[in-house]
Parts: sequence; C-alpha cells; structure tokens
Amino acid sequence: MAPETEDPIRRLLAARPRPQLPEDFAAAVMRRVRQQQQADERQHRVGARLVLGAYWLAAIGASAWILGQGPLPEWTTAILWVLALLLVPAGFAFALWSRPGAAVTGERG
Amino acid sequence: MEDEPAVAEYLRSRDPEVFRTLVERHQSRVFRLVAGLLGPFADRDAQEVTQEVFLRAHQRLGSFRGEARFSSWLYRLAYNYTLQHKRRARLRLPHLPVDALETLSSRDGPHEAAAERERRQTVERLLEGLPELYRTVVYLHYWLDATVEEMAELLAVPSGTVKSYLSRARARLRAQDCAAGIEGVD
Repeated sequence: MAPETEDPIRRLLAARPRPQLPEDFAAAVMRRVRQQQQADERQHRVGARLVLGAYWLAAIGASAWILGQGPLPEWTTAILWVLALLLVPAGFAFALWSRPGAAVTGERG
Repeated sequence: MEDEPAVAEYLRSRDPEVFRTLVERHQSRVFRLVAGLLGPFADRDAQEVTQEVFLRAHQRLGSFRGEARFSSWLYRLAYNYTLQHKRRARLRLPHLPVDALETLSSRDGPHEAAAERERRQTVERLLEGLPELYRTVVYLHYWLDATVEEMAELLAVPSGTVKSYLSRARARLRAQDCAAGIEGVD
C-alpha cells in the first residue's frame, strides 16, 4: 500500500478502540446455554405429549373399528390391543422423550 | 484435554464444566474473528454475536464429526453466523452514525470536526468497498493487530493466501485512493 494510502487507514483503525470481552463472558454464555436447554426441554415435552395423545386416540379408534368389523380369533385380538395400546405408544414415548439429536447444520466437522 | 476428546466427553456426559472449558479456550479468538468481520464501525454487536456463536455451537455440537479440528469447525460457524448477522443488520432502519455522536462531544470547532468526519468517511468508504475477505484481513491486521498465522487459522486458509488477500486489498485501496481523494488525508 502506498504510504499516503496506508497511513490514514492505519491511523483511522488504530484510533478506534479495540473491543474487549468482559471477564465473566464464559459465565454469561453458560447461563444462556442453560436457558436454551430448559426452553428446548419444555418445547420437546409439550410436542411429545401432543403427538402421543393424538396417537393414542387414533390407535384406540382404529382398534375399536377393527374389533367392530367381526369376530377375530382370540390371539389376534390380544396382539392387536398390546400393539395398539402398549408397545407402539411406548416406543413413541421413548423416542420422543429421549434427548433430541443434533440439528442438521451446514457446518461440517 | 484436547478439543476433540472434550467435545466427545461433553456429548457423553453433558457436564457443563466441559463445555465451559471449550468456551474459555476459544472465546478470545472467536471474538476477534467476529469483531474483525463486523469491523471497527459496527463492533458494538461483537459481544452479543460471539455469545450467539457459542450458543449455536452448543446446539450443533452433535453434528461435529471430528473430521476437522474443532477450532476450524467453530471458526467456520462464527464466520457464517457473523456474515448472516451483518446482512440482517443492513436491513434494519438506518441509525445515527457513531461519527455524529463523536462530533457532538468533540472539543474541536464545528469546521474541524466536519473536515475530520469527512476524511474518516472517505477512508471508511474505501474499506467498506473492499470484498468481505480482503476487508476482514485489513481489519484483523491493522485494527486488531492479528498476525498472518492467526488470520490463517481463523479463516481456515494457508498463510500464503492471507498474505495474498492483504496484498490485493492494498492494491485495490491504492487503485482507489486518487479517485477518493485520500491523499488529502495526510
């Protein structure tokens, strides 16, 4: 850079105050991380309950409809109820209540 | 503990102290990169943006696969987020420039203050007219006194590339100086 160009730029930039991080910066970040985690958990719980509630209603309705179609062998009915009301919702509950996975991001590491 | 094992340990244990260690280890570098990208005329947001970078890093830590160094991943995230912040900030309504406030409190007379402000604006315009990367290396080098090696690490490019950016930035400023009347500054 020619001196006549570089000097004013150096002078202007050198005159600007250097920004400083406060000493408690890491503590402030950790506070916000905790807030973020709490908010995520709240949101996650509400979503999980809504989905699970809807599933239960649908499962009960579907099971009642199937059972209402006609006589089924004893063992079929038992399996149907176990699947509809216990195993599948339990699987959903486990998947939804467990810690959410990492978000998909553009950054590759 | 190195960064990458610390990330794995945090994902396993969710021990906040481990993440805090990572924040403390990288906060200065991330802050300098953010400030360098925002520049000395918009650096008031640097602290807030740096906090957001660490929050995003925390949210996305699960996507860190350990194929690159954690620092490179973090600096890339900081770079992308800061540019996004700058674009959003440009869309906001114009605010009272810093220079106007400085003029109000200046001890010089109104004419001297106005002339000085005009000179500053000329240089600011020259700098803001540079491409993003060139401007960033100029700010990092001349404002934040970053070394070529530090800039190379922050921008994830070889040292030679940083030198080339600096050299091209100087060439562009030299080419523009006459048209901008910068020689009148000295």
